[in-house]
Amino acid sequence: MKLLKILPFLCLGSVYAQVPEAAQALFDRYQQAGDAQRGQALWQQQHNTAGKNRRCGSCHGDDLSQTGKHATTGKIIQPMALSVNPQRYQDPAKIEKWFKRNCQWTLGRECSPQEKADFLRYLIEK
Amino acid sequence: MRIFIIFMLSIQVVLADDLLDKFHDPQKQAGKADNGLYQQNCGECHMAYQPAFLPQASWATMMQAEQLSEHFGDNARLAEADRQAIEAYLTQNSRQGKHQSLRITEQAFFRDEHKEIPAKYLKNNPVPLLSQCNVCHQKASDGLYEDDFVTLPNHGRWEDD
Repeated sequence: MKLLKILPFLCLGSVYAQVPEAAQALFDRYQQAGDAQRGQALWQQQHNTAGKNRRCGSCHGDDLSQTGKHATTGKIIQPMALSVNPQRYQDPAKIEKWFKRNCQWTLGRECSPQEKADFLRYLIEK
Repeated sequence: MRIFIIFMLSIQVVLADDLLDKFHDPQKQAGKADNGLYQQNCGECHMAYQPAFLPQASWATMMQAEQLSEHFGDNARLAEADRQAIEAYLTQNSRQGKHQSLRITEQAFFRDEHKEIPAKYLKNNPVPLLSQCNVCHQKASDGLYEDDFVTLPNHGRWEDD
């Protein structure tokens, strides 16, 4: 029965070309293929966390094809767009680790599977 | 002929490296922070500072789980197995001394080494904090902190007075 529920999502996943295996494994785990438009809206949303205005761009910058800069340490962060940085999104554990850390920092809580799927879809299509 | 030139050039390179080694100050060689787990877990947010920059007790304090969730204002919690392994690596390669501050920039040796930098260089340049070693120390990730490898942004090569 569970398989029936996730089957449409598995099929949907195969429609997209060149989805990294790791990303696909996560879409399967989240049981949804994600929505790039919703992902973009989430990405641009501003939050007030720990008394500060925070959004994804605080560290990653506004242009995903460019490098970002860690808001506290100033360390350069390689671009998030898969099209310019194909080394990204190759390890499900790494992706999950960063969702956990960065959702907490930005939103002040963990992201739901749907939010993570949306983020991931948005980023791999960039 | 071409082979001979290449041969001579390569000898020169080897000699130059040897010479350079002789001028290295062992006090200013912190080694490479070559632990993969450390690089992966800590080096993704900031430079993977050499373990030799803090005394053992400071690393041990910093690497406690509760401490990591408030890591200089950020949450840097780690998977427990990684946390333990990284703590072991840092404490085993630490410097001599008592715990005084968790900040490398507040260590006596650090202040002493950087006291000659005029405040104006620190104010009007893109380096927000002294904590980004590699902005001035071109070979920081190789653990080479000699004056030879120092360039200040908006100023140029560092020359000792």
